[in-house]
Amino acid sequence: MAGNKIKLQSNDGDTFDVDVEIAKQSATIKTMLEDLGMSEEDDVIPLPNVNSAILKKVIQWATHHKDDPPPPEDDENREKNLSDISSWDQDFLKVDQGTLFELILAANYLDIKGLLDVTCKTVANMIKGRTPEEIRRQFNIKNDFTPQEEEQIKKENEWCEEK
Amino acid sequence: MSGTDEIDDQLSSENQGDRTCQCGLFHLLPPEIWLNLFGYMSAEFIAENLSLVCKPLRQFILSSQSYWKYRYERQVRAPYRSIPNRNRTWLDVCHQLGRVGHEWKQCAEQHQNILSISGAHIGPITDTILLEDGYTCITGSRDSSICCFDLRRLVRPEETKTSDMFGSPYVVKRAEDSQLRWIWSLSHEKHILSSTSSNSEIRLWDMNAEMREISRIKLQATFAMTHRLQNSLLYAGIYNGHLHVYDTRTNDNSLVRNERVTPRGYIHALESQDDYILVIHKPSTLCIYDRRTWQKVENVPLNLGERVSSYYKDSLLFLGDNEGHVHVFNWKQDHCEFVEKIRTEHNCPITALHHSRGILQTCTASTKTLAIDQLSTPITHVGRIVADTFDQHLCMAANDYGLTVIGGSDNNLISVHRDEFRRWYAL
Repeated sequence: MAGNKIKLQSNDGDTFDVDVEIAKQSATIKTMLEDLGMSEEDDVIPLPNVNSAILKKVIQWATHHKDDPPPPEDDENREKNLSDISSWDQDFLKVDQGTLFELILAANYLDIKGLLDVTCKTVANMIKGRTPEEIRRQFNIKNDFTPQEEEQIKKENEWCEEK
Repeated sequence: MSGTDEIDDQLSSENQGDRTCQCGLFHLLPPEIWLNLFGYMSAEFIAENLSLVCKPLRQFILSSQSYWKYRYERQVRAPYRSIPNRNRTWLDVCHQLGRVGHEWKQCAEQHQNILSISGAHIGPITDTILLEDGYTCITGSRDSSICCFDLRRLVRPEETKTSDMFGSPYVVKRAEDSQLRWIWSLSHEKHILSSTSSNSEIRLWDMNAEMREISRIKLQATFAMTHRLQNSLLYAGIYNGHLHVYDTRTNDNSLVRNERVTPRGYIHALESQDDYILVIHKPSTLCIYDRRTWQKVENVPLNLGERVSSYYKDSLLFLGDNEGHVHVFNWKQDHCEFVEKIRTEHNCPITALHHSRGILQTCTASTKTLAIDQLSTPITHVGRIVADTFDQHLCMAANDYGLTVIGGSDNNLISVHRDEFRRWYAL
């Protein structure tokens, strides 16, 4: 029935009342409700992998996207397109890296394809077209290759072809 | 042990000792998210840049062979796939495919690495072959000469300054038919080159000895439009519809078989596979002979118009028709099984074609265009190269080292090379 709400509980104990239809964008929650027979009214659905701050963001995203058509199946033949992130999503994802990674983990755990796609695209955009050093700098990563190892790998990469 | 193995070993021993990552980008996200992220990146980028960010990520990239196999199989459909051999991995196969596509795009979009070589012939080039060394190209022409090109010089410009004795700095050897007859077709086995010409002769040349003529076969009737030299037997497809087999081990190159393939139409292509000979004759008919018994096993009218262009390798037969389609057959023990009809971007007769590892090259004299397609589902049009030529007919050869050559009525040899060719042959 339209307007039904469910309670989602984050791992730090906060509960959030969410429209069922909004919550069902998460395939994980949808499965819990439909296949496992959890009732919508009484039960609290615990989400042990998501904290309050991230769950709030996820609900915000899902509320904005509640009327979106289902995301298309991936076309695996070619590289996925990186360019089509809506301006709302771009603003929504102007967050620090830690939050972005936590959103990815939450989208993955909750199985929200649209959110997973857009967060992965954002991270892919931060990586793509950059040199290893630039990527390390972007994510504050230490280089654990010796110059000799780097040289060796570059030499091997020259020859991915077989004769 | 390769360098990669050493690094992997170091990694595995490090990982066994200490499971916490001191460095890694990789540990910020779970493996399934990394696989999702890979989907947004080219295999080239992942292999050449991302895998150099930190060791755990490199280890994960190299060890995800199922992912790379899956990814490759989504990019090249059966039966056009290659499989990694020896020390190569599925990542290498994906990496190479990505690189080939990228390099073809570069050639097509920037018109890079395309050279029309003039001066070697003064008449139309009728046939061209590339030798196994990857850089030697032989051309036969209506000007009655055969030229041997060293195309390493495409990537070694300093060597083109040294010699111009055969009309072009790329030509290193040359043979001439003193009777001034057209050369029709070429074949070779090891250092022996064979050529057929319009005066009903087939000649054998020693490529090691400055193209010295070794011997000559005088055909009884008309000339051979096509031929193959294999295991010292020379199979000649004759204009009158006969198939001749000559034994080149005998002093007089004795005729060991004379088979009447068709009473009408000439033979324009033949290939051999296992114990069988595949013959294509006008009008677009495919005949298969068992060469142990010389029985005609199959005679299939293909109804593809008067004449088709053909390419055969690794058990796959590609036939180009008059409307820009390529019909593919797969050799299965003793017969050819129809695979599919591929629509290319050409809407006109395909003059010559070549296939290697999921990349199909087709060219047409009508629009002077070479099209490069990746045989994924659906087909990916990688690039189109329009040649600056007046050719009315074309012949083409290509190899697995990044080289394609096209000859035609314009007398010039057009060479297109990808950067892979430079990696193999530049000094």
